[in-house]
Amino acid sequence: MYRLEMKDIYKSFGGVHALKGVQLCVEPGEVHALIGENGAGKSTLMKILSCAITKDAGEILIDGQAVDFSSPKQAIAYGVSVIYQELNMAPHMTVMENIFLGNYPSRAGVLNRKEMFKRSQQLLDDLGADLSPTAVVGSLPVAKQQMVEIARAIKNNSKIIVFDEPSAVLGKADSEVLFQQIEKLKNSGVSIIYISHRLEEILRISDKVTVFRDGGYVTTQDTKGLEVKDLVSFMTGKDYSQMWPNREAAQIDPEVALEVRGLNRGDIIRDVSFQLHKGEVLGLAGLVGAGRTEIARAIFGADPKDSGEILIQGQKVQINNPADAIRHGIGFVLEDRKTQGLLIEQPIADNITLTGLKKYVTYGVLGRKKELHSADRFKEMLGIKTNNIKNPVMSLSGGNQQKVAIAKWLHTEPQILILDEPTRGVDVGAKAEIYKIIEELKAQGKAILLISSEFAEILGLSDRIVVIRRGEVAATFTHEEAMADTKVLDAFADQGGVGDHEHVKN
Amino acid sequence: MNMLKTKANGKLSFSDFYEKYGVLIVFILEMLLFSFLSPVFFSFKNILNVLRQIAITGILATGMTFVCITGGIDLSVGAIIALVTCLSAGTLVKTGSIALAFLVGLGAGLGLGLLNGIGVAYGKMPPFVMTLGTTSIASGLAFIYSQGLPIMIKGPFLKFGNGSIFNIPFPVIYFIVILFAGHFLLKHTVFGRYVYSIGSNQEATRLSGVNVRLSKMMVYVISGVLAAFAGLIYTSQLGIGTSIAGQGYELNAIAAVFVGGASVTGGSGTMWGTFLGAIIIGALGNIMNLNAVNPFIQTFLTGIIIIVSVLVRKKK
Repeated sequence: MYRLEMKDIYKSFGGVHALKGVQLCVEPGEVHALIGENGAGKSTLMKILSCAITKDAGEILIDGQAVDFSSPKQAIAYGVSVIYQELNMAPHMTVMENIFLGNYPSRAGVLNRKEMFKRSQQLLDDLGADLSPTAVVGSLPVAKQQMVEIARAIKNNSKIIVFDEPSAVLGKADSEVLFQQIEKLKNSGVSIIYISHRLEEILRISDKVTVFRDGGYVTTQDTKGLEVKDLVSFMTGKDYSQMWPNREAAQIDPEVALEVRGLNRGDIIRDVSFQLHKGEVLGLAGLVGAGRTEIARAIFGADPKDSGEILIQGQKVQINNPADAIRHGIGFVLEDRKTQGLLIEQPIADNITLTGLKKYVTYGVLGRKKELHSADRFKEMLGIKTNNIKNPVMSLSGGNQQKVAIAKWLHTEPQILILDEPTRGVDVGAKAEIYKIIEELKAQGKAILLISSEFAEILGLSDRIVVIRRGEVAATFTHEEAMADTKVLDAFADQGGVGDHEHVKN
Repeated sequence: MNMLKTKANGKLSFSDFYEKYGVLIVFILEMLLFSFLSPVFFSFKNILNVLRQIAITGILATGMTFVCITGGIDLSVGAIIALVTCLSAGTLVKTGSIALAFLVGLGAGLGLGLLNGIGVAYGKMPPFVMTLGTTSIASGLAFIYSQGLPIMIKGPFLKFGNGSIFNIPFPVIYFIVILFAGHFLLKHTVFGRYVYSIGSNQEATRLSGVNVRLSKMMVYVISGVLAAFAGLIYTSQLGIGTSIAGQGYELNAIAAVFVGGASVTGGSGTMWGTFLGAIIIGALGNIMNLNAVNPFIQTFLTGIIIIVSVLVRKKK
């Protein structure tokens, strides 16, 4: 009998089908990996399991019993614990207060601190975690905080523990400790659901793998005998050899548009150098947290850098803030359009023109007509579907919002365009349109730095690929080299985390 | 083909509708109700009277609108009035120079506004705390300077706040001019657009290459200078400089902004909304006077109006 069965689970958000009848069956004492690209539906399913959100349809069975949770508390009572990547704790409170959060030992409403201390110490000792129950959680390194979460899950007598990208924030040594803990939990009969993008890690610690793609169930397989290549094929639905669009060998313009020399920022960016040519798409590949976005932000002046030189068309330039970057012809479509890229409550037109309002000013007056006219031109150019560009951005679908995020940077007429996850959270149709836009920009001679967590996207669009691992340039491939062997996939299968230091900032 | 000319689709949800026209509806309803309650309410003379009464609050609220749209708040404007009345009255008594009295008064407002702006924009202080601090500083300086005693003034300076042209009181004219200037700045300049952008999403605005800190500082400078100007009107109207002037005025200004439809978290709001908000609250006091009702009820009702008007908008 399965410990957990989730059958025919459906979930929609608005018109978007996040889960289209997926299933997941986990046995007792099994480490079951759940994989898929961003947006495949892994996290949504786990949120349904923990009752953070409710399902539209489907069935959940625990130990053969149909259950229908109506609150997260009930899910915990049934023995389900989820350990999220962004740990879910009260940082100003102590370890023991966090372990017992929600049901403090008490007598007549008065806290029994002695009891709480004793039981916390016991739990932490059993885990082999060298931690004081009275330490303040916020002052602990991430790895230790994770231990507190695990202790809390054990305290709740959890039968099913979900780990959502637990190693993404850990260094190598800490990951090892985590794997040992998972092994221990497994041996004591707990079922583990393990979500990670690190495919080698999955191959190493899991017994079974379930794969989702675009909200649908693909397959469940025994891990034994699988390779990274196989997992990638399941996730993308393509053979490695088919992942490439048929295209001619890239003719790279010898002119260098952007050169980065010896870029450093703390442990996050370490001595990064590369060249980006005119009319080229350069893919920055690597895991989330490897430092790709941070490199782009440092180039753009969004974050300070410790050292390093930026050269544009061979000229050394000083970029201290985004305004400098814009002046030097750099545009940056940010990773998260809602929190960083756009003003979602403001009109579409205002979003597009924000990057260069000065050109519509005469004698201090902002020429609204000229501005709207220009915004309308970008609307037509990128095919933004709206009946009025004065409507707020939030009235648009994800794909059209993303086009606005691109439009606002084309508005600055950049020579160099950085695209960070340009197709995240957009539907397939919009994706294809965005790819077409990228191809067109390339044809116009723009230099494009592409960051993406999707294999097919990086491999399919890039003329060259720079692999970033733990803040460093690990390898560089030309299109042909990447095509010739599967080594480039290692970029997505890296062990270890942001750095080897156990304390990861923020 | 020109999309610019097509109208937004006519369907509006209640909250959208309220967002757009709510203040106007409340305003019209209030005007109708008050016209019934008092036959003289809608007379030209009384309307001017209402405008005269709200001029100072209205000028403060104009500055406050900028601050609130960025997502901030300026608690110090009442205390700035107190300091300005003392400094300008004192200067006038000592030197007899109206120009110098103006200069000192406006200078004080500019200085405190700058202090607020630097603290919030460059020092990353929460606006509430920063302006609470300057409130105490301004109020303390007013006490120190005046020794807690009122400073009486006489002469032509009194004309500044009490004069009128074609029966229209000067303060009403100042208010209307400042309101239009505020509207222009907010809607037709790059600075105004940045004010909305910062309130909508400060980080996205910064990453768009905008000097966020400069714009953020400027809204507090505007608020400070307008508070100083209001303080000069106050001094002239009452012929007195006193450290207890302007107490609680900041709350009426903030109330006018929020009743006028500005978002509490920033990113939206208009000058016309603020104008109507100021009248909605001001007319309440007026009708109490006209009908000889206990004026203290006004404060109570103002509270109800503030809460209800923001509550209705929150229901989404």
